[in-house]
Amino acid sequence: MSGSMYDLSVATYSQEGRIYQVEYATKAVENSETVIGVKCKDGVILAAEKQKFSRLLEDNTNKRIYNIDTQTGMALCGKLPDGRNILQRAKAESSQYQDMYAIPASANVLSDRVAQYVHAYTMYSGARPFGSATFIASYNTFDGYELYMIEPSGNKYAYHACTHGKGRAICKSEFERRSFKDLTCQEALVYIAKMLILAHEEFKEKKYEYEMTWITDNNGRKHQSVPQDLINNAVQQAEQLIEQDQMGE
Amino acid sequence: MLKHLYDTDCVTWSPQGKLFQVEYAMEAVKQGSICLGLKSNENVVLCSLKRQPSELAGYQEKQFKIDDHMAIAIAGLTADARVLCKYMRTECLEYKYTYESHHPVGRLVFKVAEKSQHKTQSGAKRPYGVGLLVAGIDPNGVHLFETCPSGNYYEYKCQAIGSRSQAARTYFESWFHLFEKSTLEQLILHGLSAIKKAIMEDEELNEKNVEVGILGKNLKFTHLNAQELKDYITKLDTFSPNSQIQQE
Repeated sequence: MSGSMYDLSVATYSQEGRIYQVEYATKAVENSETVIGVKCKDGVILAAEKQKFSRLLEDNTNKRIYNIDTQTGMALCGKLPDGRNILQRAKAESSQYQDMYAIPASANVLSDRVAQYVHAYTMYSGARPFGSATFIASYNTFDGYELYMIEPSGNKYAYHACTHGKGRAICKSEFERRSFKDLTCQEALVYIAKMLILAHEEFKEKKYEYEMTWITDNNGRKHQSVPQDLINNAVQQAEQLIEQDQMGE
Repeated sequence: MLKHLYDTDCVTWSPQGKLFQVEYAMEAVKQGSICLGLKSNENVVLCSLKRQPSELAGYQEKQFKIDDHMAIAIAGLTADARVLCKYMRTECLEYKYTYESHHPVGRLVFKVAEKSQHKTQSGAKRPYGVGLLVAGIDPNGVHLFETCPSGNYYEYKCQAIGSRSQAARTYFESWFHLFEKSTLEQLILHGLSAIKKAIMEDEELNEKNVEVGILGKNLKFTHLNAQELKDYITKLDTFSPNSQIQQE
């Protein structure tokens, strides 16, 4: 797929009205590791898979999910350096909002500002779109639990459940099958682990680490890492579920 | 594929979602001579192979102290490395002045990665053509990071970058399970053994072309001097990782 000569600059529309450079940037996200965001009955969960591409890598480092504020978290999908650039901007925006208005920014406002920043990079030929999609999860007393995803185009939507990366098709079909709104966060961990494991079905032999964070009624409504033993249990149970499904077939 | 259309600047994505200029910058790291790092619970060791531009010239240094608790080893464009080194040193000094303590290693690496990423997103700039191995010790523990021209960074148990580094990485994959509990001396010998795997057939390790830097929880960053290097290189002949297993 090539856009002939209309795909060399982000400041050029193609004849059908497409901006190919933004689509290529989105391709970079689509080819990267899967990230999931899910709203459950009592909270929000962000989860990411990390391939251990070398045995020499240190465990539980090289994070993809960060805190923007005590009650807001951001997960990065796609090119991590670009994602971290967006993260730094989000932290600055959140900090500035709090300085000005003395309350934490709601996810609605924060994701809007982040989306505008990401979009700005799609308008000038001297810059390029970010090759990274970001997920914002947060809690505040007025709006409750919120989950947003911002794409390289600058598009942002609020979601019950969203995903990006290589395994997005598998995850989306799982979202449609299962009603996460009826599960508590703790119950949902297994199914999230299952989705992340299925997402890299073709690379089964490689080692993966799973990073999960949540904001729930039970952990003081703060954005924190899911305890490692809960993640390990969820992964174990998920592997059993997958085996059962396969034997059933 | 018409690669040449998409690979001349950092602001053009290829149809497959790649940034070719950034990938080309990573090649510059592979052209530099090998440097490697490995850590135990108490120490980090950096080993590098130095190159000599000509017989009449000195050897290019590859390891630089950033602060008492932190040092880097470089592979790639030395001039770009100088910029990053200066930046890291300044940041450490400012942090020490403001907070009266050592700059946490991970945070400084994050700043370097951020700086590197900015250079990959402008039409008027080029990425840094150097990869760093950052060794440091802070209250969070003993660290070894690798940074790339792309702005990515990773934390490792041990890592080798530069020319012919795959041979060293293969050595590491076989023996890294021993490093955690190794003594400083064993760590240095492992590092030198790994470098030995990566040198050319007609080359030899000697105290002139090898650089070893050590860092410990109670040991500020120092380079081994020529005599110490000679001694360790001699010990290499009788060193084998198997003997370390038998001891444990």
